[in-house]
Amino acid sequence: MGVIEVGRLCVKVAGREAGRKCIVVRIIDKNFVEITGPKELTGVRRRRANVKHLVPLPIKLDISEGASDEEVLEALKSTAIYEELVREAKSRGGGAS
Amino acid sequence: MPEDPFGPRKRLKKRRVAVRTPGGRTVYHYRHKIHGKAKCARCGRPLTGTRTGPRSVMAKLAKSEKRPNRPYGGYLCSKCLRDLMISRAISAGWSAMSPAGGLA
Repeated sequence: MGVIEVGRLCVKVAGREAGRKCIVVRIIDKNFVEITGPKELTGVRRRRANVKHLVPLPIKLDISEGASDEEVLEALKSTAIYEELVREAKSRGGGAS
Repeated sequence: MPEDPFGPRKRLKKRRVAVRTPGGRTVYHYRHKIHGKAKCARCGRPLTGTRTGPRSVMAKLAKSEKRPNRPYGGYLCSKCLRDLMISRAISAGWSAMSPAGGLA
């Protein structure tokens, strides 16, 4: 599985959410993981994703497997990347779409 | 004779089709130009998930029927979009974020 692990910040590179950042919350099998934006922050809804559609970034959150969107958001708020995610959401005109 | 609605620019807007009339004459009918398929702006391959047709047809279609619903949908093919997103993630993401919280 390499660097795709629970808590890893990734960029989606395929589909309607391409270019948006997300957090891995569960490893389903060697091809699929469950991710979340969370949606209200980056617009990526909680969903299953192929790891081929994700590019890992050098930030890893300290969250438990299957963490809820609220827990992920709390963990994000204590990191430096949170400000950047908020800026990106604003430049898109709100996170959800 | 009624005025030609396309005026002197008719040849630029329409294609001519030779038609043999019942009286034996050959006349030219002016028809819609055939539209080319949408191509990827980077690699030039035909785009999937796009429609082509005269404006009268395209105007009746929903937006989602005309191009894929993703960033650069109807402009880049999915492979070129992926290349673009990966290069963006590497150049912006990896340099801006300190590697201190990095890969274990």
